[in-house]
Amino acid sequence: MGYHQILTIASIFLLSTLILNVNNATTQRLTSMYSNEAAIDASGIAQSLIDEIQTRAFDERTIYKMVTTTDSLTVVKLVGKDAGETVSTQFDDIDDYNNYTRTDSLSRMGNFNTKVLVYYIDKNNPDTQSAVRTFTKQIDVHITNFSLPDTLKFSHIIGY
Amino acid sequence: MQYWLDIVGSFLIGGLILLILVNLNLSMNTSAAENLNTNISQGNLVSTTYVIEHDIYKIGYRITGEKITVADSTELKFYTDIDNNGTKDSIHYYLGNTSEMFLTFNPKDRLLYRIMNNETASSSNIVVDFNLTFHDSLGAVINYASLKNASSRQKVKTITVSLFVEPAEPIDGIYQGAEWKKNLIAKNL
Repeated sequence: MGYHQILTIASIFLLSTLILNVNNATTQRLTSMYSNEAAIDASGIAQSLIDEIQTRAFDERTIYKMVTTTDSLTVVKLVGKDAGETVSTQFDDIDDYNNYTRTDSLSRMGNFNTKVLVYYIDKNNPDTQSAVRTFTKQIDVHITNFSLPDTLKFSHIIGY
Repeated sequence: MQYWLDIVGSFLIGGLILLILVNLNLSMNTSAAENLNTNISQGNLVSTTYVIEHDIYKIGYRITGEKITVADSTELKFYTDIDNNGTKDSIHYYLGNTSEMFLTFNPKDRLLYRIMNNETASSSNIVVDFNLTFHDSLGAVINYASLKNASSRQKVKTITVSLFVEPAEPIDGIYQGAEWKKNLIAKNL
């Protein structure tokens, strides 16, 4: 193989590498642009849902009367929607939203799938789920969208 | 003859490489401009939504009597004590006409006005669309015709705000926009 041929192959290789790198950078920039917009939309959707949940009573047992001991609250394994509650407008307390799912559709970014988890937490150790009833509940809103690189999680703590 | 073929061939290949590089440079510029436009749109969107959220969450704060006086698809007027000084303030949001933005390339952009206490109109931001939907306590949509009555406006508990922004100039014929939608529940409604 002649000297000129080696030089030609090397220059084609360098040019191809340059083009691939530029394309890669452009794609990454586009992905980041869309994921930023999806994150803005997702935070609006999550905050809307958290606002809605906050309008409900702390617990099924606190809707009509005040409770003074945690033993009066809904037991941990029964946290979730109550009998006869099928749609969110029928939910009357925070933990009715446990395992609630909803899909919001936006014209640009498509569907945002939301899942809510509600559970008791110990106020002195808020990072872990409590196995017993407490006067503090945490709401986790998980949102997925095709433009988001991963599931976004928004948390909110409500005390009684 | 071989000598001339080499020269013509190298010129052709050199020209093609030059074209590839120019095209690469152009697409990099387009991508950078798109990125800039999107960042501007997203920045505009976030700052506009911040003001809207701040105001709507406070509808009816320290107000007795009628809280929302105008409720329509692109217009909202309400009372609140926005600066917490004991004096009733009115805030009026409405969309301007596209003709007001005749100097921009975008045919759809318009001003979203925010007027406080009947002061001179000042624009809040440039948007392409601003839409309001009103819901009662059961989440049902209240139609715009009935919202002309004060009794229907009193039923409003949640306001869904949709906002769409686009830059003034297109890149490759496309306006890189950004969209936002949120249900706002004012505590005093």
